[in-house]
Amino acid sequence: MSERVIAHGSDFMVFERSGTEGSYTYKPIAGQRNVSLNREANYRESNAKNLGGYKDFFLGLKGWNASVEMEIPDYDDTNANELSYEDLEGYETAGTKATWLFCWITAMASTSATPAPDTTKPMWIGKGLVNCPLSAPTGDNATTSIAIQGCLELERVDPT
Amino acid sequence: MLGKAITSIINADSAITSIIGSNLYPVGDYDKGTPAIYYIVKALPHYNNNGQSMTDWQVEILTQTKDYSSSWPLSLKVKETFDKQRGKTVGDIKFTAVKCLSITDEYEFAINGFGQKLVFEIKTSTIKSTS
Repeated sequence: MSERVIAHGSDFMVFERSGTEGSYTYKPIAGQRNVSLNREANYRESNAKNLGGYKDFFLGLKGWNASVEMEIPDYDDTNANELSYEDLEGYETAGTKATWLFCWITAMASTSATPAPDTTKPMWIGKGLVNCPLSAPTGDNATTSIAIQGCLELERVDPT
Repeated sequence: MLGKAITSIINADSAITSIIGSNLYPVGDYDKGTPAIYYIVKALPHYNNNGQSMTDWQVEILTQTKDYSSSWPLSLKVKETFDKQRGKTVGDIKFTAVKCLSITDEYEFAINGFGQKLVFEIKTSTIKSTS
């Protein structure tokens, strides 16, 4: 059996990218737990008579979406290095198409460091709208499952 | 650390200090006599993808008195004063949630004391490991 290094789920995160090329700023969504990045595939069916009775398909419209589980920081927590629930709520209300970066992260420099994208590995970038309902169960942390509706292309950036 | 906040909370309640005086101690050999209160702080480190935080705790408070009948009133005073901390800031630590999980009778042979062990689940603002 071959020995493989398996990627860990906690090393894959979502950041908001802002600024201009050469001076981008990356802010992780705060309190991230689980991230799912989904690609939507639509196929158009071909029913030509010369296919021997079999179906054939062609790629139709493409799309993508993502969901991010987030523990909601307390309103008194004012860490500006991460994207707070209030920031996301503002994007939802305004219909802002923020630029989202889905990527692997570098090793943390310290326990209080803000996560940073690992720019040596493949990453995915796209604009998307957000929806962030709030869940506040008794006896547990307040959370949200942020839905990111991708708009246009999810671009793959591969530094290798 | 959280122990300082725990002592501040208990020492600020005159209904408790009028009974135990200054006999409030972190866990030891339970050899300080009665009446007294001992406490144990258990940190439950919390992790998400953004990193770690010291926000989840389990605190055990052991009350000790000379007789059983006076132990429960002291323990219920302790419960009441902790229940009142939810949302409050003690020192620089905000108590976002406080829940008493159990109150159990205890008897300590070493000091011939009756009392109860109160177990609290506490959530706070992040406490830096260096503080």
